[in-house]
Amino acid sequence: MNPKIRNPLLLVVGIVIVGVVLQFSINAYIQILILQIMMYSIAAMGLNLVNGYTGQFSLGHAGFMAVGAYTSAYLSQIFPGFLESTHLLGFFLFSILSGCLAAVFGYAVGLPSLRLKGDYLAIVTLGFGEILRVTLLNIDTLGAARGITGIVPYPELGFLDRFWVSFVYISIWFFISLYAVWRLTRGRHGRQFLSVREDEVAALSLGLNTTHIKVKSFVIASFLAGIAGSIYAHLISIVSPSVFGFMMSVNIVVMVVLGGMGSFSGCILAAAFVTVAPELLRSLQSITGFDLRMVLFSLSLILIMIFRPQGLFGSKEIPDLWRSWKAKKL
Amino acid sequence: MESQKTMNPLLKAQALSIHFGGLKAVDQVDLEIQKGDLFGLIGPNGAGKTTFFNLLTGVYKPTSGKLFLNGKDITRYSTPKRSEIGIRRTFQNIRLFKELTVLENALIATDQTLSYNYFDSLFITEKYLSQEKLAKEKALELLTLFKLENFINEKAVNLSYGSQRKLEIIRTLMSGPKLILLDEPAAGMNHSETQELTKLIRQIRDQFQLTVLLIEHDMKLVMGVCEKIAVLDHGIKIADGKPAEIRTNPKVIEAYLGTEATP
Ligand SMILES: Nc1ncnc2c1ncn2[C@@H]1O[C@H](COP(=O)(O)OP(=O)(O)OP(=O)(O)O)[C@@H](O)[C@H]1O
Ligand SMILES: [Mg+2]
Repeated sequence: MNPKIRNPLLLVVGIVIVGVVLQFSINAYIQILILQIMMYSIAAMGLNLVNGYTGQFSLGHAGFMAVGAYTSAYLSQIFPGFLESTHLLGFFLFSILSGCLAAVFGYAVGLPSLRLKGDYLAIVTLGFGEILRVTLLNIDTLGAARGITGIVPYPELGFLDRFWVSFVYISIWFFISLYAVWRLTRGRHGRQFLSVREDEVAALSLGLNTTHIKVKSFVIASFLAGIAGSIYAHLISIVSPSVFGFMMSVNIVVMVVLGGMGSFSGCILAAAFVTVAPELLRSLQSITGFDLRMVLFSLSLILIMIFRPQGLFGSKEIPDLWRSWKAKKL
Repeated sequence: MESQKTMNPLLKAQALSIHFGGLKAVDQVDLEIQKGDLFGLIGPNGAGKTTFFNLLTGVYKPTSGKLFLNGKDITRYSTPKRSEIGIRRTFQNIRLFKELTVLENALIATDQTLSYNYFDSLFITEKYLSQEKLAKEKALELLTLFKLENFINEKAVNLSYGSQRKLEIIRTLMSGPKLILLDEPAAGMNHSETQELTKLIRQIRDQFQLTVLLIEHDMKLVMGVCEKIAVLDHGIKIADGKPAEIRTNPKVIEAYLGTEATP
């Protein structure tokens, strides 16, 4: 069969099988964790474009997730019944709008800070995250400190239960994002990002408009963060300013750095680690009496920086590693 | 040759100056380079040669003076824009994309000749495939010409010094430039590498109908390969002309004697 048809078909079959297995084999708590891993992966893959491929350093990705999450939450509040009447289509529409608004914020934050040479982006994005959080705390229409609660969750469709629908919906975005970042890091666009990371002066002399390139990668990353935020809103049903704080931004950066700057499969695995580790450690907490999460995170980051400064996977993808492993065996 | 005299020079600098505070790094320099020239720019250390390249490529904006390409005023053009209209350079302190492969380094330099957009990248359109294929062929052709074809998947940083310099020259050629500026292309090369490079520079000039402006410390190379030479000293152009005239020019001899060994 033509791979252009075969591969997407295999993917759909794969999603269905995995979904069925997950539905019957694990409890609701782990189901939610898996959905969260996919959601954070979407945000982390976007950030990997900026921090990994383009060599900039953004430290406020939670802010763009907040923009997306609040957009979806607010839209479902002011159009009650819309999501129910349109089934999943309405969710797609809301997610896309959330992504677009986050991208607009990304453009507004990125353009001035990326024009400057040097690490202004880290400072500006850090500031943006905090300013946004404080602003949200003070907007009454968006629920101020309480945030927005009771956001429409993913529905049950026919014989499909809520987990199933969420799983399919988030999988679709997950694979769209994965496909998009994979494609956009190949060919000339991938080379543009990399050239900025490697040597901006040389890139300019070869006719590349480095400011445009940086802004583009930042806008794409913000769009994906907006999508992840929108998914968060309907998955958790509550958004509040405190969740999208500095810690969440740090978590997303950790996913990118742990997984390997420039490796998307690496950052998905790291997203799983960063999401699951605190949950596993929670049971330990009752024994030790204090929160081990921060200790573990710091420790793993320090170890990675010492032994594998390029991250777990460096800039390699899992299929690359698989191929070179097979080649070595032969 | 005669007909060219009446035409615009390919590149014309008119009283080009840049001052850093009190330092006149380049001062009132007039220079005309004709199409097809193999032009040498020499001068003692700190004479302002690299700074002059930075003015030609738009890295620095001149304090005063003008710059023309084919009679068109390009003084206000940005660096990428100048690359687009055909001015490309190498760097004295090699600036390759170190962690990328030799092939990727060459391909990045074709970017402005490609026209496919995000849509084509996403959906792997016919346009994407054909343009990528052409770019790769072009890169391989040049890499073969410079005898780097066996290193295409090697990281640039792992190349020998001489090969890194060659890869920088390849990058300037990938987009079909009009004028290439080479900043000490033979620095750090041994004698046979320098000989080979000299031949290559002539060859690419003829094969691609290029104009070459090169900075060089190695007097033998400059005198041997360049047909015209200009001399900078303390930011001022003190002479220009044929190699034989430069060699015997008392001002040039003095400039070199005043700082270091004879040319
Ligand atoms: N950005 C800058 N700011 C201040 N001074 C500068 C700057 N760039 C160059 N200069 C000064 O201008 C003068 C000319 O430097 P330039 O690098 O052009 O010399 P050069 O002829 O290329 O020398 P070399 O043969 O050593 O490469 C030097 O005195 C240098 O210190
Ligand atoms: Mg110099």
